[in-house]
Amino acid sequence: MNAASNQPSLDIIWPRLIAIADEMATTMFRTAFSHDVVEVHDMSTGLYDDRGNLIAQTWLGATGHTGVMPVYGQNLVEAFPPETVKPGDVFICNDPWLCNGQTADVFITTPAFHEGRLIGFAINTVHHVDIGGRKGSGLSEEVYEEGLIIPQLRLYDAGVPNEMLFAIIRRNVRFAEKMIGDLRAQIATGWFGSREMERLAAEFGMEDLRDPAEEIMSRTEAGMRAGIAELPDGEYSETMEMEIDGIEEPQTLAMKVTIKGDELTADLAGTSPQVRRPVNCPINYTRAYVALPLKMVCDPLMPNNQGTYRPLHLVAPEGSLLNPTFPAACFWRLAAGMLVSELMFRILARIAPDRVPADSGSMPTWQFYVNGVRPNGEAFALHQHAFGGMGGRPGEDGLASISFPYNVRDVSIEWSEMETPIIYEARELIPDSGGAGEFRGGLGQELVLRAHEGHVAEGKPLVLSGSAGRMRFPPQGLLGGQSGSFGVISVNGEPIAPTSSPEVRFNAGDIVSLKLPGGGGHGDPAKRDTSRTRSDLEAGYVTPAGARDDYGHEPA
Amino acid sequence: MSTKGDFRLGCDVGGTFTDFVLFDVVSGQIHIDKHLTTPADPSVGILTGLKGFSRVAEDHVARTRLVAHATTLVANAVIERKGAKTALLTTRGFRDVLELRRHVRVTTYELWSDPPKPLVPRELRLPIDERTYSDGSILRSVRREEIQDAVQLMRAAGVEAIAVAFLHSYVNPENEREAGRLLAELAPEIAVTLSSDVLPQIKEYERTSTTVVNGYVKPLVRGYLKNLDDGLAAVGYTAPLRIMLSNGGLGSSEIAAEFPLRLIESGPVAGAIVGRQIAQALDIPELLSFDMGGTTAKACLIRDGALPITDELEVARSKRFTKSSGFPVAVPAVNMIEIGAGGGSVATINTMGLVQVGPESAGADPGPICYGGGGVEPTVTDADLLLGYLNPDYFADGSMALNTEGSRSGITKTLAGPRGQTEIEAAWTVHDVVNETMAGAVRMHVTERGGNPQLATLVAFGGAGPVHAYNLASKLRISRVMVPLRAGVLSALGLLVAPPAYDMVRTHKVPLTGFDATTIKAIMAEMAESITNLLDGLGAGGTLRFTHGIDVGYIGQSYQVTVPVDAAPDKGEIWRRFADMYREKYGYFYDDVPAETVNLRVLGELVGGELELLELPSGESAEAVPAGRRPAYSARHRAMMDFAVHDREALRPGMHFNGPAVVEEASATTVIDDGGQVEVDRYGSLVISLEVEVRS
Repeated sequence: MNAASNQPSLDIIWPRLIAIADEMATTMFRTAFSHDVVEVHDMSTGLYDDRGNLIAQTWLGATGHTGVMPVYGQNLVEAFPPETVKPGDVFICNDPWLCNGQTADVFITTPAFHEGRLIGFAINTVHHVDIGGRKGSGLSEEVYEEGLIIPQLRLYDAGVPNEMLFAIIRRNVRFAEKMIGDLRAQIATGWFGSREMERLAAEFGMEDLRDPAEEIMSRTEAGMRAGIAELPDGEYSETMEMEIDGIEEPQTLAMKVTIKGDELTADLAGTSPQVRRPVNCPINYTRAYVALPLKMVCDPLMPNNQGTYRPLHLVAPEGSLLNPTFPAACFWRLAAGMLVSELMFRILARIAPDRVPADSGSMPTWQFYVNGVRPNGEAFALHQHAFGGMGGRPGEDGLASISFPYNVRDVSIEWSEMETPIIYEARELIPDSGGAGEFRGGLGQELVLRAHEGHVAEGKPLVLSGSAGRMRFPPQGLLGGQSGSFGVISVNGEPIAPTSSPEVRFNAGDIVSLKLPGGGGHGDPAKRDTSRTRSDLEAGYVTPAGARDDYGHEPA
Repeated sequence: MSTKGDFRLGCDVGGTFTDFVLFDVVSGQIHIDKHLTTPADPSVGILTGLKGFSRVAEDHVARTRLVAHATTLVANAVIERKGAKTALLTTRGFRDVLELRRHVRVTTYELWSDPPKPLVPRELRLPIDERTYSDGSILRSVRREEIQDAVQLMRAAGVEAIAVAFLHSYVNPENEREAGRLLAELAPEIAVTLSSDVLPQIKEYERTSTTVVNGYVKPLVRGYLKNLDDGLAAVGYTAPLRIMLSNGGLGSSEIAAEFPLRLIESGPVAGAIVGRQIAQALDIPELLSFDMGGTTAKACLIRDGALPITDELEVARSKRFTKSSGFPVAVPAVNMIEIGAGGGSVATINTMGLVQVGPESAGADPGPICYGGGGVEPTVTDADLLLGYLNPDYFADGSMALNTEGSRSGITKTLAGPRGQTEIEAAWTVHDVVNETMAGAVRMHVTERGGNPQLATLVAFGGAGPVHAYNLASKLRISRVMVPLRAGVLSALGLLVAPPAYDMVRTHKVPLTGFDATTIKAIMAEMAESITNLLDGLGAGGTLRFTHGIDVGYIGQSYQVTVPVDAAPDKGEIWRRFADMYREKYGYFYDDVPAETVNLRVLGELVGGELELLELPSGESAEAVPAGRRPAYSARHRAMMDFAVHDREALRPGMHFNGPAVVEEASATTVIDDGGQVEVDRYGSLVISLEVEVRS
């Protein structure tokens, strides 16, 4: 772009577009009702040009949401061609195959106009507190059990609310006030974003956003391509096993990466067929978690947008765990989806071991509900996220219990106990859980839960359901580093069968423990700096027995 | 109290310089001085610097009635990790609250961008077998033997400070208090901080972090204040030392020593206080104070003459301005934004191929290229000089000649050359980008508060503020800008304007349907009593005024609206006010959704003793005569053009003139583009009207 022309320079436009997305996020935090948005940040915001190309995104937000936006833009403009779009329209969709692979994630898009001409859309996505169905059951066999599926529809038509659609949603979800409240917050967020885009176009007298959009996407694309081009050409394959309760054999996730010049193809052939459990991962979400490690390794500083995905090609067999066909159950698709990132990291580790961590116990995130009933018959639902340890990294230990590669927050224990009668006995790091290595894996954490006796209905069981993993196949070490610890779920000390979508029934008086896996170690433990081992011992990250067994460290 | 011949003294210790201000209450004379900070013990530099005033006002020492002090000591101690060896007592099972943070990473895509290490290492985080439930009932009490064991361990480790943060202590502090009593008995030499004292608020990570920060800096601040107090007394000052708190009030040195975390924003807050004074004096309902110095810019939206308060402060962000990269300090503080954008901010080309300005700063040393102090990277000041906004022969009161050629070659080499721009185009890009960065942050600050920047009057000060105010306002579609007299050093004066004040927040999470006015009244009375005790002796002739507020939100929503109430709140009235405020903020309101109280707030201020703005005598003519002319860059015409140059000393109330113009005074230069109209008000401030137009 020529700064001497009357066109505003990209120096101003690009940061402004990102700032608008950030401000949308702020608007959402201020108006949303649920912890999932405000505390957890299970959301994202962004901007499309008029062709549905993602051109800006907030720096915050869950990585599934952010990684799915580029493909959703294409789905949106296909469903609503530009000539049919009117000011005041609000588009809604949560179809797992068009959006984020899970019914609870609802996408809201609003158009922006300049002098009567469509210039783009503001997009925002939220994980909703409820969407109906079996409330995140770990046993669902088809997506029909997982709540309301909303295809591409107008929630507002030229400013007029679609009351029928609102009525259907309201009648189909639990905690309807909260859910509708969050939906309204999404609409306000969308209108805010559209208005700011319109102001931007007016301020600089731009006919549309295509010129800056092209420049933004091509610079981002160039950054990714330069990063990929640094990696040697070749073919690299990896597989992982995944344990699913109710299915005899572990299921396989397979990936073959081909790097040729500045392009990368990931082929998932060899991945097991889809299953009748809610861990199937629709392709949009799979793609997000193929792209994420690549971005982290190749070009972490560039903002995310459509350009990030252009050098990347994905081939996934239809009807597989990582590209299931409708009506596969997929509510806990992150249990498989995040392992896609692990496969990608493993492959990148073989190509560039100096830039990649060992396996991480934080993949997948253990996201779970505890559903129960109070003595007065009122239902309650606890929603929490828990995280294992990151793998050891070249030059540095892995981070303990961290939202990686996801990037969300937990719900405060005090807030959780204030709102539901589930008591936390502990949430603490597990000593020796990080895989030994020159650079140790990050520690996993243990959560210990029980019902507050007298505050739950007698004789009504409580149900913990969610995503989990690495209960049979622990995170591996890299370059001689050792494995991190297994994940374990137990009730009164009795472990349940390894699974990726636990469904645990328990009663008042029972103690439920979730032990999250530690990260794998990086490098030979014998090479670990003894001062690191000493300070680990002092802090209790490793026990004296662990120091002796893993590092040959004898007490002084 | 007699005011005859009284003085007020302010001193603001910054990272590089300590600013001094001496105000003669009778004559209205203001003396200003600047000395290098002495980082090892800033009280040394203060005591040396104060000697300078003895030359201009010989006998001010005995007649000084107020010594007000702002310091960045606390924030710096955390940033540089120079605090005490601190231990933390936690509820058993929750030893790692401090380390787990909220499990979030600092940036989304970087693999090595780690959050800062906790201020208390794990071996000094000691679990205690106690437990309180969320309803305040106690499952297990604190046992003496366990505290004894902990003390033994802490003594052996050489612990200098202890923080205590147990689960749900904001509802029932009994277990923490019992631990506090036992620690006072068993380890009286170690400073203790209880979470229920510093922040009786829900959310264990934020409360624990806040408590630890307080413990961590307590021994340091105690020692520093004692040295300063003793030193001032030794020189003959009898006025008690007052410390600027983050909430914009002055506190006693006792408050500062007990709750040093209240000093985190001690330095930056002074500018907001100046903004509030102007808002109150001129009755400006929406005022955006904008303070741009050498390293950072601060902005604060002041509505209805009241300082906005936030509980979301963070200290020592590892990525300097990135949210969640530091330690939360969730006590009430003035809600300001701080941006890494100042005159010294360095311009580079970033990975996106865009010109980026800041947050890296050339600071005072080596400084911008044009200072000739060895700086080689182009800065905002270099760009402003090339654009004709600064006068190379009259900068900082003429004390320093600027090297225009240096700026020119630096900008050409780093920016204009590689980008194929002229030097003026490149310089304008730097000026425009730093304004865009600030505008983005200001928009966010205003959005967070549900406001509209267009309605505000922008009041600009700081060394670089008035240079950038006009073009910044035009980006934000603000139509009125004010530049007060002495704009370059104004924030130090804020110290002399602030009233003694303290505020408290306590969680009281109850549905509005179960609203119990008697209970709330009793809690608020208790809070007011604590505040009265803390402010006792700070009277100085003022009267104590309380402001009460209740944070109300929809049940489940995490953000609340602070509803002002009187000391005897009424349920119906609260619901009505909540509805009004919510609707005003967000444009809608739900009648059908239940609401709850979350926090109770009480603010106590000693009012009546503040410094007032002084009027200037009017001039004889309404016509302002330029002292000269020079070419400068017009943003409106995108070209260099002829600007009038006015000498601020010659401008008198009632005068008016039009842009394009620059106004020069000793400490700052004001830029007005073509289309701007300027009036000088009765206080000598420049009041600039912008034509707000949409470029098309």
